[in-house]
Amino acid sequence: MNAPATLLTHPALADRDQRLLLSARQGDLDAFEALVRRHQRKVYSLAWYGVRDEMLAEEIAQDVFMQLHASLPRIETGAHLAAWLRRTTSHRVIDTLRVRRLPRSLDEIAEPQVVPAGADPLADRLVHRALARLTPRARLIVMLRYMDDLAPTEIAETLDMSLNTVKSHLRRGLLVLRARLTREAAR
Amino acid sequence: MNPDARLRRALVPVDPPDGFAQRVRARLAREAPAVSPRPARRVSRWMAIAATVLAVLAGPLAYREYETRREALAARAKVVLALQIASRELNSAHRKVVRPMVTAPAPVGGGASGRDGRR
Repeated sequence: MNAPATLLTHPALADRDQRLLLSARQGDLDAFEALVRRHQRKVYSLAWYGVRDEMLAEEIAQDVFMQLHASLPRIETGAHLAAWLRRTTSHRVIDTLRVRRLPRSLDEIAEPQVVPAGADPLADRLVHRALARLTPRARLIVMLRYMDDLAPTEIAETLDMSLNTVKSHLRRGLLVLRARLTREAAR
Repeated sequence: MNPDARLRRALVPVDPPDGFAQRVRARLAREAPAVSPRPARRVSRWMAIAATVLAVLAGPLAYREYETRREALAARAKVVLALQIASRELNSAHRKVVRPMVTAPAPVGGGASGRDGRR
């Protein structure tokens, strides 16, 4: 389930990213498109779970890759690229959520275009509704922890927060989620 | 199922709608300028280094040139001054030689009776 995050840090794949980065920096659009394909799932997922809106998530993901293209000269390695994408997407999601309300009712929450095999749509909706009630930062922290499998220190670096703030958000967010999920399960 | 497992299961990565990468590429072609910051930066860096080396090498030469020119001008000024002094001295000497000739007394003869008659 956490394979994408693990795969991105694999040395062979990071080498491939490195080669693509070098070519993309020279203006090779095919190489840049290959980079987009390799990372689009990770970027789009973070955006989609963050804003729960297909159009908005695509807009955020596209903006992130446009910004990546402009920042290519400053990105040195494949590992740097993965961290940069995660960080930029997270900040874009937080900025978007500052000005837009997230849908909270079950009917408002959209479903992803592709439902993963073995998923329980109803149970997942309950989780997403509980997530939607968290503050943008708390939601991002929970997402980075459970979707990207990041350690609290890595989350702190990604979101420019202190480790204590991350731990506190995570603890409080999980308490709220557990309480809501337990309440829903008891109905 | 515990909440942690439910969270992990509910947050499985999802793919963007089909054609996402092509749309990014199309937008890039529309909006972004061509990428060439690295070579440009490298060229400008080399140009800066070359300009510094040139300035370091050419500086003493230019200073020497300036000094030579300054000394030449000073020497010329001295020569001009010397010529002016010499010219003035020559003029002065010339005047001294010519003036006595101009104010010299009239020849002896009729001149003496005239003088005696006035008395």
